Amino acid sequence: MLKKELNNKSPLRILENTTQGGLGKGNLGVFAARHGVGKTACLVHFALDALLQGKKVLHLSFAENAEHILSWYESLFTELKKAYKLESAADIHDEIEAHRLILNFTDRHLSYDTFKNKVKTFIGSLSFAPELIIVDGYDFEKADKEQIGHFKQLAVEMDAEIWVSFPLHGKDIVARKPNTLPAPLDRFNGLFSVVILLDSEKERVMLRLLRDHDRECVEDTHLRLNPTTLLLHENS
Amino acid sequence: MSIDKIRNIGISAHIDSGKTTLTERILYYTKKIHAIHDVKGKDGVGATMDFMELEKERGITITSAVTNCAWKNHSINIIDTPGHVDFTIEVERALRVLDGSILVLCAVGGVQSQSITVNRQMERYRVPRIAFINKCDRTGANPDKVARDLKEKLGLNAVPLQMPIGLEANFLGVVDLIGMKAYYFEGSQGEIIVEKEIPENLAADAAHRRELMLDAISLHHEGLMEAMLEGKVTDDLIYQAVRQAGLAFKITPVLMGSAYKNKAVQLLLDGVLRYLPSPLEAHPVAHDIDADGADVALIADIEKPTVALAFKLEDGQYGQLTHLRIYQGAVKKGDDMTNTRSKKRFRVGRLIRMHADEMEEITCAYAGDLVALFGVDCASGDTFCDSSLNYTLSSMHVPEPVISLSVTAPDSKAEAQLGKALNRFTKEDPTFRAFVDPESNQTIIQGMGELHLEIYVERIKREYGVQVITGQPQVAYREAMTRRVEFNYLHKKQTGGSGQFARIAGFFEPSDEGDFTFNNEVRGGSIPTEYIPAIEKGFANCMKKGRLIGFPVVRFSVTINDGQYHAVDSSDMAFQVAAQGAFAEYYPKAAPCILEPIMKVSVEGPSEFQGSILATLSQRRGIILTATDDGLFCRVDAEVPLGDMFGYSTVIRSATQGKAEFTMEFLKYSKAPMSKSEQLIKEFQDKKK
Repeated sequence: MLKKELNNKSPLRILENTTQGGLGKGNLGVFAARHGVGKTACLVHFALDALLQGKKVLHLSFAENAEHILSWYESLFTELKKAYKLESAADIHDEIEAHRLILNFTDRHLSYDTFKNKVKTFIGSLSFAPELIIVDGYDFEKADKEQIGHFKQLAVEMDAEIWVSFPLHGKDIVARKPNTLPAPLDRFNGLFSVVILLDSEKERVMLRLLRDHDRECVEDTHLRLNPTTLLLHENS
Repeated sequence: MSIDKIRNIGISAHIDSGKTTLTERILYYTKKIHAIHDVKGKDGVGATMDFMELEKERGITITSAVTNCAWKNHSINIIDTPGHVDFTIEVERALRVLDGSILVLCAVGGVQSQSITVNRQMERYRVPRIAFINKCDRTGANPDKVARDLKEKLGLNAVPLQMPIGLEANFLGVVDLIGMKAYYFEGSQGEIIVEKEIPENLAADAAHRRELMLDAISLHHEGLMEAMLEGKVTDDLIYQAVRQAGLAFKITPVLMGSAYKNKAVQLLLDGVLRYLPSPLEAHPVAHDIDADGADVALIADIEKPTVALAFKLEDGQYGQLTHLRIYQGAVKKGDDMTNTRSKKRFRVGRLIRMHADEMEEITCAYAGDLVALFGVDCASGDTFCDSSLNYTLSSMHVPEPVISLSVTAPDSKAEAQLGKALNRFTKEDPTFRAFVDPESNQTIIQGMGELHLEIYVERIKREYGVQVITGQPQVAYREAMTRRVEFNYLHKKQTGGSGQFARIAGFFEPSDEGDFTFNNEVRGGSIPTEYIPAIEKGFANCMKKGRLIGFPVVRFSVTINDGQYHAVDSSDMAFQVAAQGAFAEYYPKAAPCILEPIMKVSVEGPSEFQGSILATLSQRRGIILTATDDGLFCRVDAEVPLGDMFGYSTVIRSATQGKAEFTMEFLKYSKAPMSKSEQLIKEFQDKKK
């Protein structure tokens, strides 16, 4: 399959249609789930999808080491290549590398101002203007409204979409009232334009749309996370 | 000296972690030397173990140096090794023959790129280690973070046995969490150890850390676990447990201090005796050549027949000096021994114990010792045995060189000297290679990095009086096809007498599997089977030199599926020529491209220089893969074409005030950009004219 075809057939086109054309620049989107359910996998698949469309992606992470994140990309790209029999995969891989930057912070408790300065210095020195920014592993659980507001501001300043991972606890998911966001996400109502909950049921992980811009909803996005390949698929 | 009181240790680390400074203090406190001299001290003398002029001038360790000292009735053989990746062979050979090691880490920099490499080397040779967090007096020192780094980046179960008393400018000493005492180091050189009670403000923290320490150790020692439950933990039991767990690689004991400020080095020496193995506890294995290489466990027993490994050669004014590690038996002056590789017998002449560059003549040495011999013709990695044995010991791992330089002598007289120099240095250093390129007739030297080659060029000048002219190294490009192409080629020469006839048909295509794949799909006997190997040989020969720029062709698959032969005129030669002709005619139609080597480059330096580091890489067509920021330091990993990396060490040094270091290793081959390809093709065609 050619890259163009893959982009057209990508299951993320379904999500775009469901969310009024996608997240949109200047907005924050969130993948929320318990630890280990698949937030990083979803973020990396999103990033790969954007890279395959020729967009520039900045992946900001708070992990022990950057190689770990790189191996996520390699692994998911290999799965995509196999699943869609992607032609000229080696060339596409090189193009992806040229359009992606990964910046890893080992200090999860970095102040927002320090974080923002480092990010801007980093991309400034490379004249890199990302269209999609992934923030994975930041301690959003302890963040307040002001900090989340800063990230939203960052999305506006950089004219980019920002997708983040937000950890939840099982008890908060269970205790969630209908048509509301689970705690502590509910504190940030209005700041996240799109909220997707990764809901693990039986042996599947379903993506549920809890918020779509100005709509509060609980919709099945018709996407699920394949536990073997860790790719997003249309639910069939 | 009883063998159980011997310690053979190496001191390894990333650049500038303080290895040589630490060794200098060790020699001072063990009274081997009577004055401390700093690595780049104002007195211009330089540290003991950096005896080469170049080492003193540059403030770096270039060659490993052996010395011996005594501490509390134990004999310690120490090898101080370089931290630069360029001199990695020195670390390889040291760790190959040592029983234990001190992994030195900077309390500010933590685990850095070469820390990872030397740790890997220690794993390779299964060398138990103590981690010593040095430079606790420096601004930004954070031993707790370094201990975490050891776990997260090196995967070691690091167990701190001490905690610092103050840090940075306020670093005063350490608390020993086993004896629960505080230690301070007084006197002009920290030689007076003062033991006191733990300061009140640190008592609670110390108690908590001790608990964590005991929890970590007791997981690997039943006796300690039971004693903890019964409330009967003694210092000796903890020492025993740490030793046992450390030698079994279950934990890595962590100590800390500041060598430069003369703090806690003596406690480190105590740690060496307590936690690192004697030769009796190492388990060297030889291979019996007469028994098909069967493994033989060597025993550090002086009564047994001798087995020793030559791990380092030095060519000096008195001839070749061969450094030996004796694993079994004894070596005495006048003994007969055999080099089991060359099968040559020799008599032991002068036997030396080394102290940096000083020699002490001795008459005998025993299992567990590190000594040197004069007048033995051998190679690095050779095994010497008593004549009754025919064993061989596995040699050290020799990494492949990553960089080349062309060298030319200024005149024919200098050429002879250059030849001598290269012969000597290649013999001493297996990672330094020299050869004549058959195509260009250039003399090429290869090494582990720019610094490596720079040092040898300087040594050739100083020691052999030859100022060589160096040229940019030739990048090892490759060619590859990008399109499948069918071929049908006839080789025919039938002009009277015995002729030649061969027709082959099939297709070429790019392949992901290996450099060259040959597939025979001929059916119905259109080409007799006996000619197939000749066809394969013909194509294989063509692969060595592509037609674009004369570099080897890779990722090439050829399938033959048809052909024709003549009962009289067909031959192996005819089919081989047919293959070569098919390649010459059809290769251009397969849209060949040029591949350039891409290196994985890792640059580490203070975070303030991150922008400069990124800029230097992107200027070299580098693709930044990842950048990690841990507050004070940053690390950037990038993929950069090798052809754009030359001179990078100078550039990065000046862009970061010498504070950043880089390593590079070969990653893959990738298609060169159009502009680069056109330039290379033009240069090749101009050379041919």
